[in-house]
Amino acid sequence: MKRRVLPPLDNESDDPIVITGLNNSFGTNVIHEDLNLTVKRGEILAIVGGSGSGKTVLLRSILGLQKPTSGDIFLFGHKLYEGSEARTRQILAKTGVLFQSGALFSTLSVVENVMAPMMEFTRLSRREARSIALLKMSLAGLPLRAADLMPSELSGGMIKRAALARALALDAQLLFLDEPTAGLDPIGAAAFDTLIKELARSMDLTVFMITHDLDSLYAICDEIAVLADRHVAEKGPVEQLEKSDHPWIHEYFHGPRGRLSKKEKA
Amino acid sequence: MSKAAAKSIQADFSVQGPEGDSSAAVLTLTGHWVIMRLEGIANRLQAAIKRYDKVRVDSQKLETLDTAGAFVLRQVLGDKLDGDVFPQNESWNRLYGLVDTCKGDLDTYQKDNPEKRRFWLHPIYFMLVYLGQLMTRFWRGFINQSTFMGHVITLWMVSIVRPSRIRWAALFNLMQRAGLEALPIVFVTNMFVGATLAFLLVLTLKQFGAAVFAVDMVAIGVLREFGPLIAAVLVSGRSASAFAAEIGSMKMNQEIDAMRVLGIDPYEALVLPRVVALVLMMPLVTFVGMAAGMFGGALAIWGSLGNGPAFFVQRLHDYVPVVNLFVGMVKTPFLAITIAVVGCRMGMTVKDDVISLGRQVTTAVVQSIFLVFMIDAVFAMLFNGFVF
Repeated sequence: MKRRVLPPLDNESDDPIVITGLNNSFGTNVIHEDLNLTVKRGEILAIVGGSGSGKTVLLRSILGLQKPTSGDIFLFGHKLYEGSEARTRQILAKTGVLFQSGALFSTLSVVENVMAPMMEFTRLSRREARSIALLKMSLAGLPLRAADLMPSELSGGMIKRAALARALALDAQLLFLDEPTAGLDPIGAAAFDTLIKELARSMDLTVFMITHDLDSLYAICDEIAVLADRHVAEKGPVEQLEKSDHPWIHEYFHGPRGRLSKKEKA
Repeated sequence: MSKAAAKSIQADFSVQGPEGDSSAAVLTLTGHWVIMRLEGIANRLQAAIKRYDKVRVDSQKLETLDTAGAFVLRQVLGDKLDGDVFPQNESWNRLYGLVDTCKGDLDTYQKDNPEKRRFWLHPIYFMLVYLGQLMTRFWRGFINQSTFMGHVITLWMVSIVRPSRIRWAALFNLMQRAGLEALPIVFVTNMFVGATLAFLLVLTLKQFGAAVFAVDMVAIGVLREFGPLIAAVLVSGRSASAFAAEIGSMKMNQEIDAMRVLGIDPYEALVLPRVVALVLMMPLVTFVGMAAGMFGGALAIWGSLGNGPAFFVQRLHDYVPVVNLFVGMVKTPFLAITIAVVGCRMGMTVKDDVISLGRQVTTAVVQSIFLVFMIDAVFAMLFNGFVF
């Protein structure tokens, strides 16, 4: 069977994510108000914010899962929620998403999960796709003996790695991570952080991650955007945010857990 | 997109044999070596460079490269690579190096897991294998069902001694959901079955001039078999699946584990109320089903023979002894306990994934309906001698 293959995109030079004037509200509950955010190529950006500050809604809006009330979202210079569906799908094929709980397809084995995007979007034969999928698993640090296991047989850390392998299956240039280190032990979380940083460096990835993990912020993030008061309250490297006057940001970095994290660093 | 344009974005290469004093062939890479364009290139490249011992890579015309492209190149070139692979491009070199680090892993895996040869075997072989598996599964299911039922019955005995341990709220809630709310559908279905039966009997018996006997036969049929059976099948469809899904999703959500840790016996809290509720409600549901069946039969006979309800009731009174009602009613608790136990057992054996939930719910319905028919057949044999 011949699968349809789309021509490559020409607007490679645009910033991966540009959000201007984003508004999101459910009924009278306003989640985002005039939210602006730009993510530059090759940057690892972390989104932090309190529970209910709209991190997940923001992610869902960028992924095309939830149409915003108003405002524009550009991925690689292409405006989301506009234009042909094929074009949108093509843009989204350049992105990889690691959902919080992995979201592996439970009917497929691990290697088939990683092969799924390839079988859908490329004309590779099953054998070729399988060997590339094994490569991706190996890149994601997943032991290859897990290839033929079902997702329900994996441990939490392995699920994250398998989901990362699937997110990288099509060599995504933009990687979304929803709390990648949540539920991992500190050693596993640190290893995962290192893995993401190394992959991002060697594959020129842009990473957009939602995280609560202060260690991740210090270890791998170039920029941090703080969601508070329904928009991006401040964006900058961690050193800049530590000095911020914003009450929530101050509490975040200087509160009991924040200080602890800093002390270890020092 | 034109064919030429399509070709230009395809990953491609050309190979030139060694020239002059250099011993290495030159591999010129062109186009986009990305995962979208790589189909079949590994085999072609493999065939093209098979003859050469050393290959030098010329990447002047290469436009893009990703890990998949680097991987294909790495796999095919192996040790044949002469010199640096991408001297000009740092990021491609990094990709090649990244892929290189995984090579050991992949080689070990492929050595340990060689591709399985596919045998052609006779379909009958597979059928026999399947049959064998089916039989062992059936046997294991029977053992498990018996164990589970024993557990439930023991608990029931305990709760009779200590009624304070019965969860009354859950029990009455379930009696409503599994019993009362099933009444409308059982009524309507039985009415249609009774009416259909009556029409067929009138049609056949008319040939002997014995059409009035349709009344006896409808009544006996509905009381002894159709009433209980159809009620049980409907309750299987409604409640066995609901029980399996409820308990199964609670199990997936670790609620069962939480109960155990809190010292609550999940069998006592979840299974027993369901079994007891169904056992208490099944006679009522069946009775309503029987009444509906005879009502439908009476209507059909009224319509086709012209003999009204008074005639029907009179004949019922004279020729259909009440023992038939007893024969029908006596099996309802057994059917109820079977349905509830199968549903709960399937729920309790759900594993942590979604597929097993779906499979167990399906199995619950299939098994409970199968067992309903089997038990009904056993009772029909037992009561064979009960004359009417």
